[in-house]
Amino acid sequence: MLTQAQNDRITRVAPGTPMGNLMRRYWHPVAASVEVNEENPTKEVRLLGEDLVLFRSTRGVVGLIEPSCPHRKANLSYGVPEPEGIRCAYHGWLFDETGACIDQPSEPAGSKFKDKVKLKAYKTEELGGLIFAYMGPEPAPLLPNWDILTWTNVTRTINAVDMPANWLQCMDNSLDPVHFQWLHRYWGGWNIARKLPAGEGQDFDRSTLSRGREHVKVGFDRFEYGIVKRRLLEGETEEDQWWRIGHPILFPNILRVAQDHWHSFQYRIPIDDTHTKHMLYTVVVPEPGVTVAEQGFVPYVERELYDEKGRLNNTIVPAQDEAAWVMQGPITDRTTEHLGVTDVGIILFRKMINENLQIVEDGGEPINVHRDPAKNVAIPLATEHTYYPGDDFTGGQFADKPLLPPQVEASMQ
Amino acid sequence: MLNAAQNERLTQTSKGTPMGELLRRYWHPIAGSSELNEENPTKEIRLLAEDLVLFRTTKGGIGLIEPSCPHRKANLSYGVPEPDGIRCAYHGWVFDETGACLDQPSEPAGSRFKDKVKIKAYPVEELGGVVWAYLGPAPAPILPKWDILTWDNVERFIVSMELPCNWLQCMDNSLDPVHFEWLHNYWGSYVLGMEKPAEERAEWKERMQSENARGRHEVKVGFDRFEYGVIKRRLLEGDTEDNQWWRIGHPVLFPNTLRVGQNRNFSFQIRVPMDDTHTHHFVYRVQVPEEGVVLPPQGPVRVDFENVYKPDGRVRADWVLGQDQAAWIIQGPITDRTDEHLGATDVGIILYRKLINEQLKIMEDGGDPINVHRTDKGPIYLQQEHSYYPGYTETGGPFRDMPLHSPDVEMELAEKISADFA
Repeated sequence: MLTQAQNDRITRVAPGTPMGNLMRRYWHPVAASVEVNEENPTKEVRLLGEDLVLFRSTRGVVGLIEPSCPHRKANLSYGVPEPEGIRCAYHGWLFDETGACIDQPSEPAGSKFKDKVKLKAYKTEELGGLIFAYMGPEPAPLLPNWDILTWTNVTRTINAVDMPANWLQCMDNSLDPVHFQWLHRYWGGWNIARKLPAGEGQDFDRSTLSRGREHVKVGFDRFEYGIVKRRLLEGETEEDQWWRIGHPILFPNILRVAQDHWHSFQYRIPIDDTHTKHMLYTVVVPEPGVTVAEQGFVPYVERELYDEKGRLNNTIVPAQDEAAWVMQGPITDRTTEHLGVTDVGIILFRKMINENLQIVEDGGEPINVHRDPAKNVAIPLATEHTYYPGDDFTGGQFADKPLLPPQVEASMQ
Repeated sequence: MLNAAQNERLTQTSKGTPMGELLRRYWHPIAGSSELNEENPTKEIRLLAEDLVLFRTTKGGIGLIEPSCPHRKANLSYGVPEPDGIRCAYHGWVFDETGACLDQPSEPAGSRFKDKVKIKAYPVEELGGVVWAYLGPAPAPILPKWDILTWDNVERFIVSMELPCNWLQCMDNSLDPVHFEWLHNYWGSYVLGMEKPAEERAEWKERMQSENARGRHEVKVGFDRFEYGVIKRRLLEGDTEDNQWWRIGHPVLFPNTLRVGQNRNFSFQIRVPMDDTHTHHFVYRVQVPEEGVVLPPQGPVRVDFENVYKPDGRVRADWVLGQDQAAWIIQGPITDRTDEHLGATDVGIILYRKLINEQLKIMEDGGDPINVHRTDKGPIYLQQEHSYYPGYTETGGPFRDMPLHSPDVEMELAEKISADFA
């Protein structure tokens, strides 16, 4: 349970807020690369409480600028893409990706007026089919080259949904392994069964209306980039990869989750205090020795949050998570919550957020900000029971990770 | 660039605000006459931030009253038209066009209750197939009989659109001739070209890179104050100052009307403020026939309602007026003029703001602002370049011999323009 001030401090992301300042130390995906192309050269975006226009010039350069032309305030998302930038629809002022005004075609010859107007512009980079933006202080850190963003001979897909909920609810969920039994197995199973025809629904009930395997204990470790989450399931030993390896939460807003041949990031991108873009970035690794077709571009789809009746979708696992976050309210009222024994991971993450807020306020660099090019190469992340490229065993370079007790642990028995 | 208070002063429309009061000194079109008939005897109106009901009685009288019955507040737009007024759907109270309650059929015999309730009502008049309303202080001025409203043997129609933006953005646009090259010629061509399938765009792209692809360049623009507002003139590349584009030009009628047209088309674009952030764009079009042609009598003037959005939620821009409307809408609900950067090409906008501020002052000092009419001068002709007026064989009509003079305000523009259309 937090005070209102504590809750505001860790949830709100507008410019100048403590969490807004901390969030601005990281690169965030702002769109899929395929979202801005010749057909749709611009996109209106909202990120960390700021309205912006993303555009791609006809030379392929991406820019992220404030939305209104400084001349007469027309929205630049209606502009015309040109080789050097985006030209305003109304009177043809031209802006490049740095926000500089490089043409005011109707002003008198010799006018210096264009040198006096400049738009806010943020750095962007493209990697793995995503466009990332950096909205923080200079010098910008390196865009982290996480393993799955850089692998070759894999198949990538991206999808996203915009949700009316604060980003931290998503992260609370990722530090809370126990919800799996309830939200996904029990509630999810109930919802799926209800949608089946009468007879089939009962059969489905028998197979799924259970909580799945019980969690015996959950554990959490701080590591270089965030927190590793581990769980011991009923009937398994501590040697099992679920407990010994686990999978990571990247500070401040990414879950890496994977199984078998697929790896994924779940990006919880703060649109503003009460809206979040949930972007799922999935990479499928082929069997060893198999070469998959070159993708050319990474496909992107937008998912629907609500069904045709206006209720939250709930029949696939990510939709169940999203439903939970949305139904916790625009910003969960943590002044009246009641955390139990199973919520130790959430408490650890809040502690980590508060430590890093303090570091930023003291002028330091928070966790998971990357500056060393030598280390920024296919940065490997550990995920349990998962095949890495070329391997016929799971766990990749982490397969032999020694069994160690977690820093924080809670027993469910 | 204005401060926030200056921007509010120019854009607010409610009763009691400076601009709201100035706008109330003028007659505003609120509907086509043909919109009110036996089939549709009432229309809900929002004008100058007031909700109102317009109705036509079965005798053909027309009234503009506050929307809610004073009894139990049912909306009178659901009422039944009768010979003398509109009867409320709920309990049958009748109101006439002065707002008087004529009947309370279920009150006891001899009750004087109906004399104690009266609803707000505003003067309305019909002219040229348009219903006009006056919301200002009495005595109401004369409804001006502009030329095109009165002409016989022409064909008229009305286009009606609701815009989610303040009215002054529309007027800024009318004092800004330079946007023509960009918004209409360059961007308009881009929008239309992008509607073609990708494989059919090559020829269009090539054409856009050619000389004059962005239309004829404006060499200079000029503005004059006149009796009813401002005259706008432009000199196009290759023309002399004797050309009607420069010598005659066309007017912006204070406070919210553009007169524009060419050849045999004459039109008013009237930007009727619904409230601070919504504008009823009332476009009145008149087509003059070829010389010697007698048209059959027209009957009711048609009203076309156009949606400003495409199905994908973006603003429609596949016609010239749609491009203007797109520009106004994408400037935001009320353009933030505290953060704009006016350039040399914006002298007309600056002149117009000055004119508005002068008229606000005149009104606040108790006077009649510009373009308020108190005597009936009959049809009032307005100048419109390169246009055939009824009864004239040359363009320019009664203004064809207007002498060349220097405008009050004039601005030379860039000699050449270019763009890298892709």
